[in-house]
Amino acid sequence: MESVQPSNVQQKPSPGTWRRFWAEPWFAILTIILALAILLFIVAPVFAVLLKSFGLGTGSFTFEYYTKFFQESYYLNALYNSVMSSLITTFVVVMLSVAVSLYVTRSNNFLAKSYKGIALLPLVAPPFIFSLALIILFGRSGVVTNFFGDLFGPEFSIYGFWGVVLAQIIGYFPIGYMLIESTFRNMNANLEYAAQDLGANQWKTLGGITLPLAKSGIIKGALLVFVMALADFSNPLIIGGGESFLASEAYLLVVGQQNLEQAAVLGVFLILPSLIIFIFQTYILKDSDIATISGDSGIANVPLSKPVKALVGTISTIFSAFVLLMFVMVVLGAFVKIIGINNTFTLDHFNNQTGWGSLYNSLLVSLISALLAAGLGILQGFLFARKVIPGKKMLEFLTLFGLAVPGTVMGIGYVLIFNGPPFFLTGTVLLLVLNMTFRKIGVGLEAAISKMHQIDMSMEEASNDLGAGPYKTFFKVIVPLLTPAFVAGFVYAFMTAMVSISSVVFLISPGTNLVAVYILNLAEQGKVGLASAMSFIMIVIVLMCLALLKFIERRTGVRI
Amino acid sequence: MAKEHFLELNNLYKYFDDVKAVDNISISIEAGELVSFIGPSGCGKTTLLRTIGGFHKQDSGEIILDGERIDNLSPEKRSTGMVFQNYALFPHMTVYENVAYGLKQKKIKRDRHEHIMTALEQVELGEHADRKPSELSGGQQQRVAIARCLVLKPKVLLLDEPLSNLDANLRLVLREEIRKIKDKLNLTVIFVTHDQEEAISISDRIAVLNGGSIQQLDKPDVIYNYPNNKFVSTFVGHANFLTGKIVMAEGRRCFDAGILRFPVDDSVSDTENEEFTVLIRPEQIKINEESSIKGTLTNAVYNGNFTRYFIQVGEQELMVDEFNPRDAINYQKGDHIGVELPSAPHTIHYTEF
Repeated sequence: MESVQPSNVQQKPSPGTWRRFWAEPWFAILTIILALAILLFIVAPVFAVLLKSFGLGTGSFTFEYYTKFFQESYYLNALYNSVMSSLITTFVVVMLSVAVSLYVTRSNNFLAKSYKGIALLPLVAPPFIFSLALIILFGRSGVVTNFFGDLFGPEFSIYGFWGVVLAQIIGYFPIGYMLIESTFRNMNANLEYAAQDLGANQWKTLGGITLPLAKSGIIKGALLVFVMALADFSNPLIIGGGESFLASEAYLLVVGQQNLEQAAVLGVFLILPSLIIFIFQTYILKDSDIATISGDSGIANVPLSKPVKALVGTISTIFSAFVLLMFVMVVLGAFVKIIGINNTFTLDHFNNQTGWGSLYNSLLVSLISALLAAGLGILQGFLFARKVIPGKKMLEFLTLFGLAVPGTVMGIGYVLIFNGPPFFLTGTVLLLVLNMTFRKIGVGLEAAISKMHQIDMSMEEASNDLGAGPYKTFFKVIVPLLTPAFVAGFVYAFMTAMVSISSVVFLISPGTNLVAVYILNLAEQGKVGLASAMSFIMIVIVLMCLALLKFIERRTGVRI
Repeated sequence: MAKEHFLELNNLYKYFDDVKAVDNISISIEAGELVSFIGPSGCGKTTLLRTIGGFHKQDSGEIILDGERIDNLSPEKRSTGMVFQNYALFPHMTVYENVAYGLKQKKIKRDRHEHIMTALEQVELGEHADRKPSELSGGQQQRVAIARCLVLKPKVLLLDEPLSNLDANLRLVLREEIRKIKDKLNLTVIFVTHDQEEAISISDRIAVLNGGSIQQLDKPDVIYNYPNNKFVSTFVGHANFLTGKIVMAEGRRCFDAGILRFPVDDSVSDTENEEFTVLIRPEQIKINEESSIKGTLTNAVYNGNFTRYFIQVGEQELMVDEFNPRDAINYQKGDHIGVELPSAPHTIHYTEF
């Protein structure tokens, strides 16, 4: 851990760099505090997992747990299942995203707009809600299974590998879709018009121009979906039907057997792909971004020809209908006694003291950590964009890496570090807040960095020129300009914090249960009604937050 | 080649919701002609060009190119070649691949390489064939965009503000070059620009557009000297407007605009006692100490090759351009200066207000 102290990161800190760093001492002190926090709350836990996988920390160095990993087909199977399900999920999500993006960006009708809304709906739900919906539909006593009982045959079961894949496809679709759609939307329409002008029909334009130009967006989306699916922890638990997956297996090893070393080995296999992909994205993809070089907002996208429109329209319609059906199932599940068996209306599922208590905890923790994550991220974004900081590149890398670390790894790392002396923080609300804050701080940082790129340096120079010092300029010029980025970062962090589960599941205690974890437990126990009711409330709360944001946006006229 | 009415637009209309972007436009363009569409932003010039290229579908009207009705064809089926404002070069392909793209789509295999190299030679980019567009300067990118069209031998070349992204000096060079390529290959070209000076210098004829309709379509010198209406006269060049009537003074016909009175030709109006307006370009007014018309210099703006004087004569402020001001007398603000107004008929024109 000592090897990543900031002073060692910068290869040769020239004396000028340090002098300029200290020229504005308050900013320098803030930077150092931020850097130390990032090292403690992002870097250290990951290193702790790495060390633990070699038996270090409590024992002596050993390959024992790695040997075990490769000898037991159980663990190898987890690796295989995780990688295969992620690959299939990624492939299907990319295909669907391209189709839906094409339809949404090239059609200007009500359907296209609703499809976009539906496509993004999974973002507001806990990641495992589709497992729940699939069980309601296709489970042993599911609505569809009961109705078409004979059609499926006795061997049919939604529990298992393909159930996980299906739940992942729907759950992680918005992630891929958002990236791919924005690439399609921001493409210079004239490039496609030019291809047509030169004699290409629409299929040729799509294959030869549109898709190659969207390549980097598609790759980015695919990588992100792959990383998310690989780290998926809750779907295998609910609908995996005993099939082992890396993240869920690591969790069971920790809570079931207290085998932290073996869990750490699984964590290493979780984090390696994420790390490789993250480095690939940060250093290789960044330079190959060609689609945006000639973005031209003035011209509407090329309308689709009839056959293309029919194809992507059909795909979009079927997919949107399916997603909508999932949500409808959860809502129905919340309001009837036992869905599929006793469909009488009831509010019993909402009469749940423990559930409301965990909801309150979740709101509190998410609110505080989203505020902190957005605030600190924005502050860091400003400092990094404008100030001379030794080792800046590495710090930025580490902060954003926090977003890429699978939650399971982070959770195990937090257990390893904060369970014992000198912290003893396990089970406290403070640790939950810290965990969520530093898991999401990258969101604020990214929002701030992209906003800072749009703010002309001359704005601050003008402020300096007019007599304001660096601190006054920060508060009077930068802070107001970054407010939209702060709000956007806050909302995103809040939404994801509400539904996040894979990391905090290691850190809760009976008194500090969070609603996402609570619903997961209900779903695992097959308490579909209660799980649906709490999921429904969560979705409503997140949607209300989004509506509030839209309302603020409209009232203040500030585009967020 | 000298076929009449090579490209005909007949009663074209194009609406965007309620906005008339193209409002009953009819134009005939001859083969080998370079016609510019000029006008302020939102006048419909780009919409008109994109309608010809097939990127907008007209609401009514027809487009006939070389005897064939093309207004119902999709862009890839029209023999028009479009150079886009930002060139729209495919960033993931080399210069060579960009130029080859159209030939591939049209499945022209024979002599493909020769066609490509000829097109690149025509725009003097033969040695840059293997570069990516991002490795070229703005002017070079522009020429690749032209070559990409030329290789398909389009019947009409459509240029959408092709010079607007380049710096001032390069624009001058490139507009000469476009004109040269056009003359060498005898191309029919439509050139959209908002820069009236560019249009005047490059065009055979100019169509001035405003509010979706053509205000005037004529040769550049006619547009400049005989603008149809006030819009054209102010959009192309600068103008002084005087309102008055014809009176007889000292046995001569004079234009009388209150404090300003100067003799004019017979060609200027024949209805006495009717007020009307004349247009006088700033360079048509001379500073002349002998003149009986005196004014006060309110401002002088040095422009290098000429100086623009603003002279207050009574209620009227006159813009006067004096060329080659190197040995001109240095007038000071507040000086009383005599001005001589033109009498030749071609310098004065009726304008509608």
